[in-house]
Amino acid sequence: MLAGVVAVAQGCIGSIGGEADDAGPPGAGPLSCGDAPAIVEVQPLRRLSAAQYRNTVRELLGDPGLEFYLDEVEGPITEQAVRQIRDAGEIAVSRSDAWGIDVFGCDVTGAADVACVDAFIDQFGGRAFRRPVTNEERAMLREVYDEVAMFGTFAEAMETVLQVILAAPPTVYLYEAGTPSADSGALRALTGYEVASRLSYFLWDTMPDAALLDAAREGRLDRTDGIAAEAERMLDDPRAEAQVVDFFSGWMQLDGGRLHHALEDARKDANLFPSYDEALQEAMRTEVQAFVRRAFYEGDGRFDDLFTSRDAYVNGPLAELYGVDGVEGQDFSWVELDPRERAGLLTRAGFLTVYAAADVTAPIRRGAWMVEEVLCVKLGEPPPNVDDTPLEGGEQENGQVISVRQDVEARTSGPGCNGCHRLINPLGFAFETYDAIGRYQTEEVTSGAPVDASADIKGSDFDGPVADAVELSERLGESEQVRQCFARHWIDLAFGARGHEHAAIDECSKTTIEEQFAETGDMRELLIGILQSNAFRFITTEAEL
Amino acid sequence: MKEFKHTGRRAFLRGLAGGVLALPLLELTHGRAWSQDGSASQRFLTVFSHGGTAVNQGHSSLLSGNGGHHGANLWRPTSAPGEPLVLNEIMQPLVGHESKLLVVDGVTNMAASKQAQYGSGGHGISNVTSLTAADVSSSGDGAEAQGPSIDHVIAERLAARQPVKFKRIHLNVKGHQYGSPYYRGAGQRVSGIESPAAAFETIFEGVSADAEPDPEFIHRQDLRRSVVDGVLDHYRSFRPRVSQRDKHTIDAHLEHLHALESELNAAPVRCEPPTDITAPGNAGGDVVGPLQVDIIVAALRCGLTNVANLEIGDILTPWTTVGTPMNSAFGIGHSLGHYAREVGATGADSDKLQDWLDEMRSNRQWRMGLFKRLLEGLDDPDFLENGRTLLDNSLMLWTSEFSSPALHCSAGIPLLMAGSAGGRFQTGRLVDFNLGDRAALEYETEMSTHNLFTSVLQAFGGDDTHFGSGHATHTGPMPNLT
Repeated sequence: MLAGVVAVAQGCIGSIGGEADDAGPPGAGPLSCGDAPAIVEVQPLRRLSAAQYRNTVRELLGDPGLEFYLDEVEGPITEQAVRQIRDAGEIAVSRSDAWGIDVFGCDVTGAADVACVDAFIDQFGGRAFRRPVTNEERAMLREVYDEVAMFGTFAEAMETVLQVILAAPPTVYLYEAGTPSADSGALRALTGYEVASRLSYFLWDTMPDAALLDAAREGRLDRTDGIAAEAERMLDDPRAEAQVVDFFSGWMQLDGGRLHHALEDARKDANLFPSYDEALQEAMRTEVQAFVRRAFYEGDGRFDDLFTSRDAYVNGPLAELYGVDGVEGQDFSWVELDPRERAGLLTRAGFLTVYAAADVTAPIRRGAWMVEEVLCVKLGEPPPNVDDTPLEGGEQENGQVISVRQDVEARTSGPGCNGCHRLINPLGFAFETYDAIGRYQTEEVTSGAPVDASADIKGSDFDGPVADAVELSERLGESEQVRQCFARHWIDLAFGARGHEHAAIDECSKTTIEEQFAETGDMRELLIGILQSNAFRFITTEAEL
Repeated sequence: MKEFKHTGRRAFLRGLAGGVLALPLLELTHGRAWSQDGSASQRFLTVFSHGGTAVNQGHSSLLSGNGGHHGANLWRPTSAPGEPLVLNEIMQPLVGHESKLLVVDGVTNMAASKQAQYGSGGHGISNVTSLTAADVSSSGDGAEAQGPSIDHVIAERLAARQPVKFKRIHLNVKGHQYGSPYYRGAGQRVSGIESPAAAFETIFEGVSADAEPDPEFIHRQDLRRSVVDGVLDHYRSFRPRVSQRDKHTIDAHLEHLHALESELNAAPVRCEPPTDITAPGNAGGDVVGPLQVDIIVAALRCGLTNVANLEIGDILTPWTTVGTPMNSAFGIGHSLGHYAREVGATGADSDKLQDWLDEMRSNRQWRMGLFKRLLEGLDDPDFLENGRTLLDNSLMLWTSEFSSPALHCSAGIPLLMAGSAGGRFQTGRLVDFNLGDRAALEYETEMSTHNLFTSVLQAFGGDDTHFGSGHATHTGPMPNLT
């Protein structure tokens, strides 16, 4: 059993870890967790994310080109989003020529066909609702059809029913009622269909396919081994690959964060970085995507490879940035980077470019991201008088030239800052050997000051001096704390947590997942472990609290 | 015939048997002259400019400029209270309209300052309390207001006496921000429309100056009613199955569906819509901003709404930049705002004071130009109601989450109003609630946005004695506005 890592800093708050007993064997009932009865946290009613809803509608219609905008606001749905969902239905219907599926099952340009209506409601509704349509729902949808048929064409009536289905709660929300079962005590086991939806939106970010719904109908998702079998199949699907890539982009905030733009919008000083352009940004993105695909899918999916691999997927311009010879033009190929300069994902140009200013490095931003997202230590709110204008180093009024690092140290050494910055700064300083677009540097391009990437790491389970980001990355790959944190991010994705808070799941499930991953370091197993946890398979309803 | 369980819309449809075209048209060519109860129509507009302004306001004093923070104030009118209003640099676009302006200074957002971790403000908490003056769920960036914003309250009340198709419209000029100040209720954020093209399509669909509505549009609306009705049925049926804790989620969804239903059932509006509104939301702010204003003005003139919000993100405005562009660290307005503390006499970039002031001036003047465009659109003498311009019966409120963005300061926040809400407020003035000696750089106030919003509610006919949380020094309206 792992000792839970507790990280609390003066002026900062946060902790991870906990304790749990060994898990029981896989099966239909909840995993045991010592002598205590299994419990799971009540999960709030989840609404599909904008991407999940969009993907779902596309799949339902076989129209991958369908585009519509949907608000992504935390909390209850906005009025605008409700309108957008309605509009999405209209847009979808207007593109019936692009549908790759015979959605209606009959020729709706012809005479009304009542049998077709009923079959459509059951089949399309069942796919959209991700479970069989209930009698009440069938009646309501039939009522919609009958109403429109009074004043509209057959096609209009069918299209209206379709739009109602797309906007109905079983489509928009992930409602879970579960079923009581003899071997799950106070818990309610999710139905096979409910498990199918959880699986599908976690691993694919879209609705279940026919095979998964078949597994649900046949009861195969009522057991952990059945879930694992489906998960293995799903992980080999391109949709899972896309989800894995998206996970890493989200984790690294390559699509933008509170204080930085997306990689594609990251501006740089053209005088300092003349090779930096849209094509190079695209190459950086391509490399990160290829890297995580290879780390996850090729080889044995080892977590530590994320932080130690020297493999890089580069084209000519990116190879030049890394100082690699022999790659020309725009075609990509795998190369090996200098082990003295690079180790893993965080030493790659995409990450380093996003967490940098237009001209100089941004060790505080690099470090703050690591504290919060790699170590899962929540930083407190910065004081209101904190100065987050860039620290650029360079020549001072007294004529002395200082580095960015020295500038940072000077500004953050006060007692009001040190509580958090003693954690943040060392992690950021280790990356000082990479300039604002990720090129290796021994002197700062702006000031000419020599670079010092040595750091004394604090507040982690790998505290101590490191020479640079290469050594730091190796420590990250071996750290139990980092693995636990990484697992936490996947748990958040599995349970649809968005925004500022982690997913609320029971301590037993959480520690079981984190411990297993800390021991194995197998990312694929991590996902399977989440899927087999009590928290993923059971619910506690409000009334049973 | 099958018996419908609905007695509302579907019965209405069956009764009409295609007679929707016979619905009376509301003759609206330039706004509604009178509301149903016979009183003059009122409109309420907010312009929320994210990221504060260029002032020397500190949390408990005014700043001299001898420290790291500059000591300039480009916002506060240069005239003293009681004197004819003389506008400062940021409000220069409004020169000539002084008689219709009311500037209020010396007011603190006490919901932010008293709930913040550091007793001053902060991004999340200041944003979500700016227009709600509400309790918050937490003091950090994830703060959520636990009550509605003032625009929502007024929109609901006005809609009851001045029926409109949209209770309110909310358009954005996209830019960096730390959270919208607009709420329907506890934890219920409101989002604006970023795309002028989408806003135009939503607000003006079916609106035309033609004598008869387009039959195709009427048919499309019928189909939409059936969609909304069908979806409503599903949500009503669904609601009893969700837990008590989740009921509010479905209630919000139902409420929004009812809003859509209400729009569909609104009488067709006969009015000339604006033209050439085709820009998407990702067009530059210099394109989007004026178009969003034009949409709001047209919507108000056409009587499509009583309440409009224009939310301007903390954008940089390179199309207005003069002098040497500032190094805006990450390309967001927030970074520019933070330079306020770098350009004072002892600031790290003290030599850039003039550059910073130039850039802030040009940026905020551009934003104020949107306010001017709104104001002039409503104050157009060609569009009169009972002999008065729309502006005279309206109240426009400009504010921000901060005074000084560098300090995340929720004291002395910028408050500018235009119009008098039908003669309720006395305009052409500066009102100052700072109890301290400004010459001595003192700042002390007992006045909170709670009090201002209470006054606003009363100006719109409410008998409210308080608005928002319990953090104000005292309840009641703000004195000396009427």
